[in-house]
Amino acid sequence: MTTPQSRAAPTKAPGRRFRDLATLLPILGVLLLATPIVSIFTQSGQIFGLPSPIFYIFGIWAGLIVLAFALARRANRANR
Amino acid sequence: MGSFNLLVSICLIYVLALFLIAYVAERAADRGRFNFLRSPLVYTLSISVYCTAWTYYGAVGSAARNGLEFITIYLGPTLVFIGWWWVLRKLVRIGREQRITSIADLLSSRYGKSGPLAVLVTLLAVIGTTPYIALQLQSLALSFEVFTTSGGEEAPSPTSTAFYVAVGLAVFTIVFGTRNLDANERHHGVVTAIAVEAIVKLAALLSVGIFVVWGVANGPTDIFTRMDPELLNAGEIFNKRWLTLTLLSATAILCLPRMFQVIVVENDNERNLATASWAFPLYLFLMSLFVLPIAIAGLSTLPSNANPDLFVLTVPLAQGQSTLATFAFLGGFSSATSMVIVASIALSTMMSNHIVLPLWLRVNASRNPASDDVRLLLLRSRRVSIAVVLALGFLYFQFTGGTGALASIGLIAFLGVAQVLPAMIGGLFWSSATRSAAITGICVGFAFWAYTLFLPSFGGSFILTSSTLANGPFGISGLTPHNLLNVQINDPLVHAVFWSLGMNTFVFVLVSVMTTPSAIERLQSVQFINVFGQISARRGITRSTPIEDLLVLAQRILGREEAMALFKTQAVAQDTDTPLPDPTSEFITTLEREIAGNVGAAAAHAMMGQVTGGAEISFEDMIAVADETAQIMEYSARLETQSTELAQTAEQLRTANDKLTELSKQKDTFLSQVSHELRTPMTSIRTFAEILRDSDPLEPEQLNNFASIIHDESIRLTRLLDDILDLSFMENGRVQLHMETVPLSKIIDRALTTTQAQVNDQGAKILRDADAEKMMLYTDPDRLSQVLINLVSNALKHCGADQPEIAVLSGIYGDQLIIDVADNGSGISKDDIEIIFEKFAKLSSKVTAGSAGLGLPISREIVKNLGGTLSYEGTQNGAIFRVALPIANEHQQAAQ
Repeated sequence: MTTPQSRAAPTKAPGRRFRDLATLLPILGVLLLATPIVSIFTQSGQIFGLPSPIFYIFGIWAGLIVLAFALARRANRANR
Repeated sequence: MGSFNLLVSICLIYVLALFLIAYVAERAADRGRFNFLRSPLVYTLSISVYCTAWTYYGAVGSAARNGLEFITIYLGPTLVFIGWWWVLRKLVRIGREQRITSIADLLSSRYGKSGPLAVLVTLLAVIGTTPYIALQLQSLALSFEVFTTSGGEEAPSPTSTAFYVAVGLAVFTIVFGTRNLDANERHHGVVTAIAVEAIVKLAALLSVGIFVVWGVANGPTDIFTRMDPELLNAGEIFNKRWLTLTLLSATAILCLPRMFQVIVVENDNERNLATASWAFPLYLFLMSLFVLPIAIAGLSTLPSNANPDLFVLTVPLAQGQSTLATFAFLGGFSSATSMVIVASIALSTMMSNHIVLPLWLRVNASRNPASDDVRLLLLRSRRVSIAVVLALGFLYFQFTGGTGALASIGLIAFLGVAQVLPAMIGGLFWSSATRSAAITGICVGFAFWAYTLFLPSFGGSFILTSSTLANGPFGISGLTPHNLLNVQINDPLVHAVFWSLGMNTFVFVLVSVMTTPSAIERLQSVQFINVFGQISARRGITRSTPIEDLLVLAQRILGREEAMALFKTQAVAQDTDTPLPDPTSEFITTLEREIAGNVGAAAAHAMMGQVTGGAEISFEDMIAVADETAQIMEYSARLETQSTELAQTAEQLRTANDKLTELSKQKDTFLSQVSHELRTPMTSIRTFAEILRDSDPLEPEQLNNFASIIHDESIRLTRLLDDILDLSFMENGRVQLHMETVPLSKIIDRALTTTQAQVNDQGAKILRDADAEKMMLYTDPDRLSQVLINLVSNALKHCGADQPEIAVLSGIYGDQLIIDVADNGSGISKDDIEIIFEKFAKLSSKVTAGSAGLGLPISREIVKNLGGTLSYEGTQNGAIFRVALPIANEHQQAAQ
């Protein structure tokens, strides 16, 4: 017999979803920063007054950091 | 003049502050106040030792020359850190589980705790790091020079600057890096100082960047409009070099000895790694944010002959911001010193652990390695090693300083150390990787690196001549260092990465496939590859030699004595010097067989397969399984004993029950017989008593007759009750025997006297053997004569012959005294023989009168109580009852 509590909080310390995301993030990073995909977005031009290559590289970089931050919070919550 | 002295004073104050911080941190750590020291922030900042003076100054220089390319040096580590779940997490866990002290230790431990491999990696690390230390010294000397020349002073000698810096760093590192010999190789003081320096260098670079963007230019848009559009090389950013540099920097963060030191060895808590996975990329992001603006400012404001590598200093100086420039200088100073400190700690650990200690042990083989000597030796050798490392760096700087060779040394050193990568990654994920493969792979990669990149970097002044560089050795163009086999890779770095890492990986995989890992390698590979398979934290198992692990396993399964015996036999068979055998595959097979005898072949194979092969289950699990099995076996053995006992008890109970049932039946029979026997005399007594009461006065003769009958019956009744009581006592063994020594003849005399009347009645003839009766007998005379009376009286009663003859004969046969009572009657029929000794036995042919049938049972009980037997030895020529009494006993008793 399951209590309402045990139904409400199933135990899944670093769950499969987290592991999948953690595995996926560096692949995404490599794809966006270390493959010819870089060339697509780093043509000459300007975005918000910045050269587009700089905007793209730093933008992707910041995005990856934000995602890693979210994942790390999740990992540390699960480990607690 | 004041400017230089001021700078030196600032540096000294700064260094003193670092000393103080390190000292306070050490004290806090000693008192157990770890909270701050262990925080993810300090851990992340300490990783920033990645950013050396080369990246601090050189990134701007690189940006001024090649635009965005500098960013690859930061992108590689970023990708590794956001992918921490793949590799770093495993490295840190293994480092903690296996108590890894350096990258050389990691590889050596993974590949069967190989000494030669550790030495090889140590040498590689020293060769790869020494130029890098020289580079730091050079950048420090250069930055001093810039400051003093800008103040219009004569430049100090770069040599003396580098020398003093090297000595100062050596002192700091020795004081805080080798203060004690920590089992975990953690240096809280140093790490805290490094973290502070990380903040200084980041703050310095950000300050310069902010000044440039908002002080020199009017915001980000403005600064980029000053940029030469060609610099960014838009559209061609991604190329071979971009990819190669990203790969190289990603490799460097894993393989550089100092990075391994801060990421793995100094790690206190795995959770810190999760924080660092985003915080360190963020640090790198901030470090690189203003690199391009500073480069642009330098290019647009400074004369074209200005060194781009020093823009971080020269741009603020040119703007008259001497305070900011000093701050920037401190940032560079921090970058250089933190790198040198950590690198020399990491190298000294490797040198003392993998080179000095093994040598010392070889020289002093007879001394006890567990003594304090070794610890002291390690501390001393580390101090000396630190001095040696810094001396090597200084000498290298002296040798190549000022030449262009040093400027490009950063990436060259990266690639040299990166040769460890295939063996490391293979060791973490591929169970077939072998030690020989790791060694050959690293050697081949190292050779290619030296030939295609390192030696050519001296520009023809060292080993390789310039003609060799241009046309290949002996003019063989296919062997030209920068164009092996004419592959047409224009960039020397990309060319060298391709050949060295490519050949390294190829040879590593090839040799791994061709060779078989030894048992110890297999064991370690399971420990490494399945580091997350463990359920519980392990204590010390893995650091002890694995044969002991096998012994533990064997002891838990086979039992202590058996396991020791087996191991000793094997050791003798292998002819080893130690009491334990080497874990050869033969031995493991034998052990598996032995274990199979206890837990079954399948389980044993699985267990040993885990020790030697590679799958999910960990060694700890196996120990647990072994424990469990041992417990279950013990439990089941106990159960078996108990169930045997139970079965025995049940059998006994069943027998007892049968006996009780039988006894109950006997008792019922006995009671009915007793009541029947009592009834007969009671009936006649009652009848005659009634006659006496009811009849008219009887004649005196008749009256007398009736009274006699009542009297006789009463006597019979009394005798019957006496007999029953007697028998009951006899059967319970509660009869009191009055033992005395008497002549046999006296007992027989008494018996015959008692039966004299009966004998006379029947006119029977008594036969005796007077000689035999002379012997003395230790017995209960009353009881024995009772038996004889009974036997004689029975014989007289049941003889049935016309001329009864009763023989009472005795004699000694062996150790027994035999007394036979025989008659010349018809004997006892076969059917009756079975029951004559039963109580109340009614013989079929003759109904006994005046006897309750208790005579023989009582007699038998008496004889039994006297230690002998009463048996029927009848023949067709008459009945013979034989009393057999133990004679030895009697003699002994008589003697007393």
